Amino acid sequence: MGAREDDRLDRDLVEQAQGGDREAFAILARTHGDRLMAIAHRILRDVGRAEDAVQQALVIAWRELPRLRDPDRFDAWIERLLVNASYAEARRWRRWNANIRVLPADGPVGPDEALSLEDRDRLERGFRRLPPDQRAILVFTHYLGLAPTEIADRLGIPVGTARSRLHYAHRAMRAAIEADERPVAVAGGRPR
Amino acid sequence: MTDQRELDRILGAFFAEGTDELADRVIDAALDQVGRTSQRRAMRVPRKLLAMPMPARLAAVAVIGVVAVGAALLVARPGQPVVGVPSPAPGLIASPSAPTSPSAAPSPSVVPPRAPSWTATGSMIEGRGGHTATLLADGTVLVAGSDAGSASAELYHPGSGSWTSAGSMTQRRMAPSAARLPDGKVLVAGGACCGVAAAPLASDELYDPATGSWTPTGSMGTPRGGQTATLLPDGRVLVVGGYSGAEAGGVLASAELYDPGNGTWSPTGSMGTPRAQDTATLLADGKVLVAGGAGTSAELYDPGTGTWSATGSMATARFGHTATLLPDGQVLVAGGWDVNHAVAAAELYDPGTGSWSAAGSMATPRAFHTSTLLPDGSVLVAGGDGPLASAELYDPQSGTWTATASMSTPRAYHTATLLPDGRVLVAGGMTGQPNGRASAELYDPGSPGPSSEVPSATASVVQPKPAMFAYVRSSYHTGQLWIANADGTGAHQLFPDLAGSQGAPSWSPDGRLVFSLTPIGALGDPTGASRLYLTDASGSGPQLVDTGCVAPCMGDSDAAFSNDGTRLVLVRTTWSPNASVLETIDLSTGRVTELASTTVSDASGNFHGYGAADYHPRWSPDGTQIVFTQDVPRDTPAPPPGWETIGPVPAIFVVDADGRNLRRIGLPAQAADWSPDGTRIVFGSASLVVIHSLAAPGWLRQYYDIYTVRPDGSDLRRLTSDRFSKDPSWTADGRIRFDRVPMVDGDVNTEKPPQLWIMDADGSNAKQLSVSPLPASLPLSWSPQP
Repeated sequence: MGAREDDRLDRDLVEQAQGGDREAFAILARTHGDRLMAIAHRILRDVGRAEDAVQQALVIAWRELPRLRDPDRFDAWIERLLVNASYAEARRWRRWNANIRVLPADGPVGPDEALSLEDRDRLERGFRRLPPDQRAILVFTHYLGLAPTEIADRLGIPVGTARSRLHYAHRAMRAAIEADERPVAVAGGRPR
Repeated sequence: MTDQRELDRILGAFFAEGTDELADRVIDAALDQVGRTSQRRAMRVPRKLLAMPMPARLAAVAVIGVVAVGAALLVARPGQPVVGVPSPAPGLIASPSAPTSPSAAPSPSVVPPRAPSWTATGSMIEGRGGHTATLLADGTVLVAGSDAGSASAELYHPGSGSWTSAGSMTQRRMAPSAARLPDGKVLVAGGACCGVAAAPLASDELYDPATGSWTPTGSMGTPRGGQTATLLPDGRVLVVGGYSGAEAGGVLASAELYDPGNGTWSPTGSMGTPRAQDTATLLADGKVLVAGGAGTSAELYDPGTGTWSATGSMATARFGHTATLLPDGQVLVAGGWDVNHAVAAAELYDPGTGSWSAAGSMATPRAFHTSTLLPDGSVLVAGGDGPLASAELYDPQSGTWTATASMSTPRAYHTATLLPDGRVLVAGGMTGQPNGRASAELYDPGSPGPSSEVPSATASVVQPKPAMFAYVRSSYHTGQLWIANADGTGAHQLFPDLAGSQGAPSWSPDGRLVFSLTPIGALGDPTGASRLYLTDASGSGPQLVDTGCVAPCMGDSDAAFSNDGTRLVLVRTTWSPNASVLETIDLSTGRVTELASTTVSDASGNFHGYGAADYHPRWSPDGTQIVFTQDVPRDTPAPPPGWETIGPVPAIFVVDADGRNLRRIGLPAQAADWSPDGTRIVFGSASLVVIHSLAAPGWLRQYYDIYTVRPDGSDLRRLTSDRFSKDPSWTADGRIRFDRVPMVDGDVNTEKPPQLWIMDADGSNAKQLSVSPLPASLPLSWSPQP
């Protein structure tokens, strides 16, 4: 089945779902679920929270679907709902004393020549410190491979905002990586 | 240096890893929910664009009677718990220095409800009508402009009830627009000058509350008077329509944006219909609803795209009406002039459907009145052309209008401003004379519950006892413990950086600090999680506290000493079972008492990976009870109709020190503290409750207000209603210290330095304390005081 046929099928499903067809919506949810999960997991860094965000986005999508004017925009539209739901999840957990952070076991860690475990840990901490809007920009840029103009379109933000968020996110990640490269002062401080 | 290509490569590899599959149970759960959820059907209202010409009489009244919008538009409070009206009165809070004794208390323990009332307050220096009034960050109100074309400005001080001069604008203006910018300055734009043949102005100026001075800023592209000004979430100001004086009919369709960054204006499209004396309302989704001003039509402005689009039309043509954003996201439009008479009818705009519905009728037709959202969610409508002295309340819950107390003076083209203490300041109004009224009055919404006299309106000098606060600064992989003086001066780091991530500190009665530390590498390693350390305020090396944390104990955090220093309360996380446990340790005997335990597993039994579900335990002064925060399931309590919460919410619990009598009190809240006499608990509410408008998915509101409650959960009182006050703690002399968080982009911004404030235990006499910026990391932990 070609891409164009896929698109047409999707549009039909979206239109049926807009008319209240729950089965059509179920097919859409199963078709898009993996992609939404991939994005949410990369933003939120946690399977449980990502699942919550996806579930929330799907339910909101169903409810708001009649208000989607252009069925061809369903992909971008539901991504936007998802990112908003992810923001909510992320902010929910941005508390001041969350001093215990244990990564969930997300399945096997694949062979990873590009990044050492230490690098990954370092990136993980740096990324978790970013506000959710900057996290989303990094995921859309480096995971989905979108340009700021496309991201602006999908997230409904001005292009300038997308660019500046990306700039700050890059700067923060760079600082996180480099901060760790200097020796850590432990004199008198390292727990014995 | 990491160059961009290297960074791109690293981030690409970083994001390559992760889950790419959505578990079927999630889809099933979503579809199950979908099966019980009906779709939101868009109601398409046939839109008639009535290009209604402005009636001649309107041209005569020209540019008077602007509804000042702007800062006031940011006061929508979705999810605000309904706990009765904020009371400016001290109520029954026991004097902290004199513990209550039911038999000895001279005052009755229950005071009848206080009826809503108007009371006179100081008069303005100058009579005004068609002016603007803007609440400033410090709680004072800036009034500028006048129908008499005055250049002067004044400040109202709610504490003393007095008015002082706020200098003079560089230009006389009648009916300008005003908007408070995120940096606290006020943009006063346009208006007309002077006399009967007044010509609209393009010039603008900025009032700086820090210096009390006015300075000109860039000019609008088009002279305007009687326009609206709306502060957008990104800090820009949208100015719409108004009278130009020049063109036929003299009414503008154009709109302009003010950028506070560079002080310049730029055009941002045009409405489909020219409008003046319309209303502009910032909606929860960031769009701006512009209604009336010409016929029945309404339009939406999208700041993201800078475009205008039509939305549903009202049933009644209006100008000189009011529009008020309700807590549920709908907009109440009331009164105004139809073609040739004032109207009583009100309508509600639903942003979800873009449609209008009837919202009953006021008892009296009103135009050029004021409308104010009160802290309890009702809307106060006062005065109007006539002029009228009467006032009415709209209750969004029941959709009904009821009369409330009348003003002492009939007013129209006046201003109404909600003060931080919940009262409404009404000032000025046209009289038909060259000068407007100078008098002002205050509306007190009253109190449904116990209360007492309004405190005397005298300013008091705040002299806090010396104290210090401690806080954590976390940089990458390092923890730093800092302390500073109460005013933010003298901040210094206690000892060299620790390798690890640090938890919030708390003080022991003898001035030491206990905190938790999660060492580097603990990420993903359940056996290497956080431990407790103790240090003294001179910064000697931290000592590990042996709390006996061995498997399945994963770590301890959030420790606090009892006031006699003999016991420690702490939060312990364990695996197998995955639990967050609140427990006390007797430091002399090592005896452990478990007070509360809650599971931290997700629905499928997996450890969810973000640690404790209990936070910030604090001992009562007598050591018999502990107040703490615990995550509870979502939708507890149920949000108001049209809103839903996502994820668990933090709630306050109190438990006896022996583990008995666990009870939930108060509202969703992050951290609580005891009054020095142990009779009340203060907390900042709603800080972590993330609320989704069904109409605008993802719009976040994190507002912070401060409440007190008795330890048994009774007598809940709201102390602040500014929605950015948080992290309260009680001082030894019975006042409440708290932080005010800056507003940025229409939301509180916890990444900017907060300001430290103090107020009396009843919420009165709030004053700013800090003289230098506070650390952004919160909360501050206060030292015990002499």
